[in-house]
Order: sequence, then C-alpha cells, then structure tokens
Amino acid sequence: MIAARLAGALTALTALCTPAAAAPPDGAPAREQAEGLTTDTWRGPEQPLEVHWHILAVPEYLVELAFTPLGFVTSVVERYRLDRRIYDLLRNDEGTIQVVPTGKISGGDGIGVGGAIDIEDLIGRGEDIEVGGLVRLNSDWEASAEYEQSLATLEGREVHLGLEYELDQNEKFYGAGNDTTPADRRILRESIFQSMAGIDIFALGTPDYAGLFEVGYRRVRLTPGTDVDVDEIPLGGAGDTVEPPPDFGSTHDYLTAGFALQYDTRDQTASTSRGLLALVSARTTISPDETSLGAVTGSAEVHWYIPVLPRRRVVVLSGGVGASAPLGEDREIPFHELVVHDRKNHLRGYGNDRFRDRLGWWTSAEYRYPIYEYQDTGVGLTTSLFVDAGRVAGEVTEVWEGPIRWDVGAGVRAETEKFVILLLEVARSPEGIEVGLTVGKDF
Amino acid sequence: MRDRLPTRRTPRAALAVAAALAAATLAACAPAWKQAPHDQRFQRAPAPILHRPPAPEALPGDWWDRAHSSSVRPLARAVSPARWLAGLAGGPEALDVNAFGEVPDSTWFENRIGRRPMTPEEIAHGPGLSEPAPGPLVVVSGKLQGATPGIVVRDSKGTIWYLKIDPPAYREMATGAEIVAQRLLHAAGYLVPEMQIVDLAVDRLVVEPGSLRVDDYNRMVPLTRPYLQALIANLNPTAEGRIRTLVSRQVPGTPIGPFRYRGFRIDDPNDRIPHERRRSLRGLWLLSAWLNNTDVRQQNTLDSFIVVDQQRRLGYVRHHLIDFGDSLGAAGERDKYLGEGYEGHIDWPAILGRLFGGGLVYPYWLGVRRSPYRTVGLFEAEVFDPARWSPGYPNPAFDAATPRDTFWAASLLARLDREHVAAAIEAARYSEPGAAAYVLDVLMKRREKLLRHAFRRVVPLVDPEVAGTTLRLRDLGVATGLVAAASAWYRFEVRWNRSGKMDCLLAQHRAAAPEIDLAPALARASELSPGALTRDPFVTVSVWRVRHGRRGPRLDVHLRVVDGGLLPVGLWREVE
Repeated sequence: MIAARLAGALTALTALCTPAAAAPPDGAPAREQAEGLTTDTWRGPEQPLEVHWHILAVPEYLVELAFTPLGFVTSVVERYRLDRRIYDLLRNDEGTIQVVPTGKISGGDGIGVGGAIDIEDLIGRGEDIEVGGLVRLNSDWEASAEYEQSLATLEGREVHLGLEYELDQNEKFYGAGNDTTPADRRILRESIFQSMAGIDIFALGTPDYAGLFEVGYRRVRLTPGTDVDVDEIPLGGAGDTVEPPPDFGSTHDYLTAGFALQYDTRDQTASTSRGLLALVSARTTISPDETSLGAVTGSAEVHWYIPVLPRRRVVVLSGGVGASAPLGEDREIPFHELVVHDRKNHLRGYGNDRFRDRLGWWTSAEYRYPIYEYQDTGVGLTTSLFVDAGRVAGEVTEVWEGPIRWDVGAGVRAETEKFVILLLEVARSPEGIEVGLTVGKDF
Repeated sequence: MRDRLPTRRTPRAALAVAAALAAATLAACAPAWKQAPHDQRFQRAPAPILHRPPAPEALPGDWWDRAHSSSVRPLARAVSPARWLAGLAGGPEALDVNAFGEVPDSTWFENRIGRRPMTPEEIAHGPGLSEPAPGPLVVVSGKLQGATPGIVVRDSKGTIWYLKIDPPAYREMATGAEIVAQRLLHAAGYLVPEMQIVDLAVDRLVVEPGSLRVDDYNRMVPLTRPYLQALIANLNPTAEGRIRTLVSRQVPGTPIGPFRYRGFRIDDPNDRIPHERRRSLRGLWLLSAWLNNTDVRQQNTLDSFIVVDQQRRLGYVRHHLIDFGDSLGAAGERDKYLGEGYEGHIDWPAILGRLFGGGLVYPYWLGVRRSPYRTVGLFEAEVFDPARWSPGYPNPAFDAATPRDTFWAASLLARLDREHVAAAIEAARYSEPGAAAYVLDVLMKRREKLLRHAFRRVVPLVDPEVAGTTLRLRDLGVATGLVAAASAWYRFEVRWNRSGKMDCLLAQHRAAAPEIDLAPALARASELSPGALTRDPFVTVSVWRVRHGRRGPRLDVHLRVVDGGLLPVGLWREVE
C-alpha cells in the first residue's frame, strides 16, 4: 500500500515536473506549422524529465527559496535606486552636510542604533563639525559633538574640540590584577561626560609623523550596575571579595592633559604589506576635588609589518607596554587610568574589560594573507592567524612573574586599501572562545 | 455489498494486459536510434506550435542576479545531493539532440558551419550587413549615464537600432570584441542580432519631444538636446563630427525579454526542454571560453515573438544571444582586470581554497600579461586553461555541461579555421596596427587548447558518410592538425543488432584511415542467416582510434541496411 502510494506520488511529481504538452490556443490548429520552419522529417521522442534529479535537488531548491525575499528587497532597491535616493536624502547637493546612520552590535549591550550629522565648511573656513548619538537596546546611550579646524597660521595644524557623554549600565569589572577569574565579574554603571581640546603637534606635510596634544575635563560617576543575563553579586556589597575601584560610588571630576605621538611608515593604512607603526602616549589625570585621585599614565606600542611572501603575505609582530602611576604618594589611580587587557585591547581571546591593573605588557604575532580581491579595486578579504600573549600586574616586580595570559585565533577582514570595513575574529583562550565583530578598525 | 465482492478478471483481459506490457517492455528496450524515420544528421525540430504572445519576461534586477548567481546558487548547489551525484556519476545528458548527438535546427539554434563549409565572406557577412537608413536618427531612449552610452534610435524607415560607443579611454575595445564574437557565434549557429561598425556623423542624432532617458533614480525623463550634446562631446568625436559606433539592429519580431539559462518559459508551449538541458546552451561555454566572453548571463539574451498569423496574432518565440561587449579583452565600459575570465567575480571555491591554503596558494593566473595593444586589453592564450576558464558569474547551463556537450561545441569550433576567424576580425575594423593579427593569433591558440581539452575524453570522429558500402568518418583531431595522421590507426568492429538476440560480431578490421568497407560484413550476415538482414536491418560499427599503442574511447555508428545500401541512423560516443 505504501509502495503504491509512493509510486503514485512520484508519478504525480513527475507530471508536475514535466512540461505538459501544451494545449494549442483557442482556435489554433494542434500543430500548425510556421513558415520557414517546417519539415516533417524529425520525430524526436518526447523525453520526460527524470524526477529523481529533482528529488535530489530539493535541498538546492529550498536554499534558493529561503533567499527569495532578499532577492525581492534587492530588486526593489535597485529598481527604484533607493540606495541613491537615501544617500541623496541624507546629504545636501554640495555634499557639505550629511547624515551618517550608524549601528553597533555587541554581545553584552545588544544592538545600538544612531546617527551623526557631519557639517563641513559651514562658515567657509574649512571647518568640520560632527554631532551624533547612539542608543542601545539596553538603554545605554552616548552622544558626542566634535569640531575640527585646520589653521593656516599654524602651518595647517588642526584644532580639535569635543564634547562627549556616555552611559554604560553594564561595564564589566573583575577587580585588579592578572589572577582574577571569570567568577569575579561584577557590573558597574558608568556615566562619563568629557570635554577635550587638542591641537596637532606636527605641521601639515609630515606624512610619517602625527601627534596630538590634548587637555580636557572629565566627570565620571561609577555605581553598581545590572546585567539581566547574569545573577551578579553587586559590587561593593556585603561579603563581596572584589575590591571596588577607588572612584566607585560617587561622582568625580578630573582634569587631564596629555599627548599622543605616532610614527607610521606603512605603505597603506589597511591591507598593509610593509612598514612600521609606533604609538606613544602619556597623560596626566588629576581630580581637583578633595578626593585623592590622580595618575600619570603612559603607553607605547609597535606594529611591524614584515612581508614574508609575495603579494601581501605579511607577518605582523606587535608589542606594547602600559603603565599607570599615582600622582603623588597620597593619591590613588582612577578606574579609567588603569591598563586594560581584553578582547578589544591586545588579548582577543578574553572577554571585554577582562584584566585591569597598573602595569601591563602584551605581544602578538599575526600572519595575514589575502584570499580575495574584487575586480582589482583593492577591496577584498584578508585572513589572519594570530597568537596573543600578555599580562597585567600591580607592581614592577610582578610583571614577569606568574602566568601569562594567551590566546590563539583566526580572523577574516574585509578591507579597502585605506580602512578595515569589517573584521571578524575568533580567538580561543584557556577561558573559552571569544568572537569579535568590529566595524572599522585602524590597523 | 457489491463493492466488497472480489472482482475476477477474465483470462482474455489478463492476456491483453500481458501483451500490452510485453509490447511496452519491448518498445522500451529498443534503442532510440532504431526508431523510424531515419534520415540525415541535421533535421529540424518539430515546427513550433503557434500561440499567442507570452507575457514579456521582466529583466531580473542586475544586483540580485549577480548576488544570486555568484553566492546563493553556489551555496544551494553545495548542499544539493543532485550536484554531487552528477559530479560522481555524470549528470543528465542534453535533451535537444537527435540520434547523432547533434542539435537540430530550432528557434534556438540553426546549424550553419556544422552543416556545411562556410566561406570567409559568409563569416564576415554574419546575419546581415544592413545599416541605419540615411537621414536623421531619432533618439528614442537609452542608458545615457556612465562612460559608454547605449542609445536606442529610430531611423528614417522606422527601424530600431541600438548604438554602442566605446569610452574614450578604451577606443575600439568593446565594439571590436562584440563584432568578432557576434560573427563567430553566428557562424556556429546561434541566433544573434545584425550589427556593424559605422563611422556615425553625430549630427544625425536628433531628439524629439517623446525622447526619453533613464535618470539616476531609474526614472524615464525627457531627453533634451543639450543633454545629448554634452554626452556626445564627452565621447570625443573627431574634428569632422564622426564617431566609431556599433549599430545593432533590433532582432526580428517583438522583444519579450530575456530567456533564462535554466528552467523554461512557462507560457511558451514550444519551450519544453529545460534550458540547462539544451546542448546548444551547454556547449556555449566552450565558445564563450574561446572568445573570453565572461558575461554570459540572462541579461545578455533576448526572446522575440515572431507573428505568423497576423489575423489571430499567433506566432512563436525565437531565442537570441545579444551583447558580446565582454568578449576578448573588453569588459563593457572598461578592459578586463587581471583574473577576469580565469575565475569568477566572486569565486567561492577559489576563495575557500586560498583560505585553507594558508597563503601558500596563489591564483594560477598571476602570470597573465596584458596585450601590448590598447584596443585589445587583457586577452591571451598562454596562461588560458580551458578546464579552469570561468565566466564572471556561474551559468547554470555551463555547469550542467557534459563531455558530450563540450565535444559538440568543439566539433563546431574545429570547423572554424584561421581564414574564418580572420574574416570575423576584419569586420571589427581595428585601426591599431597589429591588433587584428594579435587577436587572430590568440584566438587560434585558444582554439587549439580548447580542442585538445574537448577531444581528451571522446574520440573526435564526426560526419559519418556512406558511399556504397563504405563508411567514412572524419577525424577532427587530424583535420585540425592536433594529431598527425601517421601517428594513429583505427580499429573497427562490425556487429549485427538482431532483435531479441545477442549482437553478432560480423567483422573486425584495422585501417590507417577512419573508413571501412562493410560489404564483407554484410555478406557474412547473409551467410549466417539468409534474408535476415531484411528483417533485422541494423548494424553497428564500433571505432577506436589507437595512438602510441593506446586505444581511445569508442564511437558507435549505427547503420540501417536500405535497399542494399547503408544509411547512418545514429551515433553514440563513449566518454572516458
């Protein structure tokens, strides 16, 4: 019975898959012969479609069916050139004012949506003003305003002015030190307002060098945060073994002054095949109020791009150190001036904000090789295999003692010759696997 | 109650059923080539059914077509057991073929050089040499943005023409390539529009109130004279106001949109063979590889409705290939980039190969060098590898091609000799000294590589002819100079295909040329069973080509004994 039904179904399917002998249109002879195409010499057998090929191809059909809605959307966008219409809608005819939508995705904070308005040459002096903001699903938000002006009287140096506010309700904190464990995770609610003013150190026309001197004011409030996904112990609560940062629990104002220097001989800023990038920065932070908070912070890092095989097969050797010291014996280091090692900072196999302390070093070796380039445009995909190592420490004597944190991983970056469009990295450390998706990255 | 009673079949009915089953079984077992009528190699497909005009097929979105063919379809095929099985056991063969493996004339394909030798003049002539009628050319519409405008004009006789002009940076490149490809594909048998190169006086182009152009938002907006003048000025006409232009005549009938390279047009009653099962489309890959035509997509096809009965508006659909501007070293508005034609624009197998190759896997085409000719661009034969040639985007019909489809196309390519190709190139009117000779040289070298590739797995014996009782074949390997005649000999076996009995071996033979006199074999059959050849009039001649002591794949030529003579009725090629 089952076999009979199966046979019936197959027959029906065959009938469906086989183009039926079409009925002639109303009033037309059954097989009317067209002029110039008529002979009676050939009677090729009518060959049905083999139904088994169609049955075997069902997964293929399903995949194509699943993508059909995307095809519809793409076709509509192209047909009505919605891309151009939206692009044109978001900028003025001269291209001096444009709205740039932005989006962010992160595992901890969820999706963020926002935008910025970028105004160039508003008063005809080549200035650039950008005002923007972003809101996340977990109610975190940030807003910023920036003004940049190149001054001819200062040999083309740019002046930078900025205002920024950020509210992060689930900043991770594991306590200070290299020996903290994932179980030490606590959540901070962080509210930061800062204003900055800076000026380029080097004049226009020094391509290998860049530098910025900056002064600023910052107001920070750190309080216990919440994370809906984890049953956290409140930081600073009774019986908590994790010691909160010194500026936790109240609002603090800081004055900062510092500089950053860059030496860059890379052949291009992305898809780099050779060159050296060195970064050095130092900053003094002091709280002018009655609390004893203040620090001197410095960092240095080097990235050396070594071509090992033709056509952009590159080994990137990187390394760096960071240090933060209290500004005087009676002061403590503010939370944000500690050295951080985490997924975004040198140790890609560990979670966000994983390690913090006064001192730190890190090193990495990365092998990059291109796997695709779109039509000679310089836009393509590059694969990387990397290994990272490093640790943080509270004292100089501890820097080389104790376990070194390490990870290995691989990544794929979509990049142009000037910037990384998208970077997907998967890294494995003794604490697990971290997946990072980054939109836009400098190197 | 009656329904529950068991039915009882009468012995007579049972006998009838058994007889019908036996007849059906016997009919099913009989090879197709035995079925009458038996006639020549090139028959026409059945005359098309006349029908009302099908609904125009909308051109799919270009973006989605590219994304779908380069990524979605490869992903779908990767998870398809059908694809893997076809890869292991061989995919289904083409359906639009006759017993000789040839593609009969149809609304898709018309045998030209495959049917009879063509002169170089015929090649140069192509489907026609007509040009727009003298007088003004009214711009009807067109794509007028970008570097190369495609302008639709109407001449003084009301004929619609499509004009294409090379961008100033790539003079003669795309128009020249298009003419070469069009002439050669036409000679092979494909339906292509008429097109020529003309020196067009730009002041012949006029606009009228109804003239339209497509704007940046894909809207049809009025085309103004100043806009047209600005556009023409950018194309750098000569001081005399003339510009090299490719004029392409609208194909006969009413255009009804493109055809797809798979499936069929559901409202065309003649379109009954899935397009990916058409040998004419499958074999097109080889000719596209030859011409380096990397844009063989649905976008570059056109169906038209030919009205036969004006009164009832009945007709049929013809299927054309159009737009060959991505052939040779050209890629439409630009020249080809390094790698184009060697792997797809988004070639996932190549990308994954490099991903897992750890940076040690380099594209094989890195050694490709651009031609020294500005009008030719990147077109060469040294690195070109037929097995690895790839169009810009995967083509479903190309993907389904079997060695027999490839051989069929190669048998056409083999008939296009140096003089034919030179005639096609001459029609392109290259003005750069040496460019035409370079293109000719490269095309001939690519042809040789393609023929070697296609003849690897099948024996290249074609054109079975019988004179008296002598069967004569043509060895395309020898005819094209790929194989020295002295280096090969042929082994024959003649079998008698008897109905309901095992085949009977009548003769074995070896010869230096691919021909055999079958008289002794027929005499032997008559000796074995006098008169039986009249009842069972089919013999099969199996041929092998032996070179360097190695026997190649087999070719079976089926013959029918007719009035003492022999008539070839079918042909089967073994694939190694």
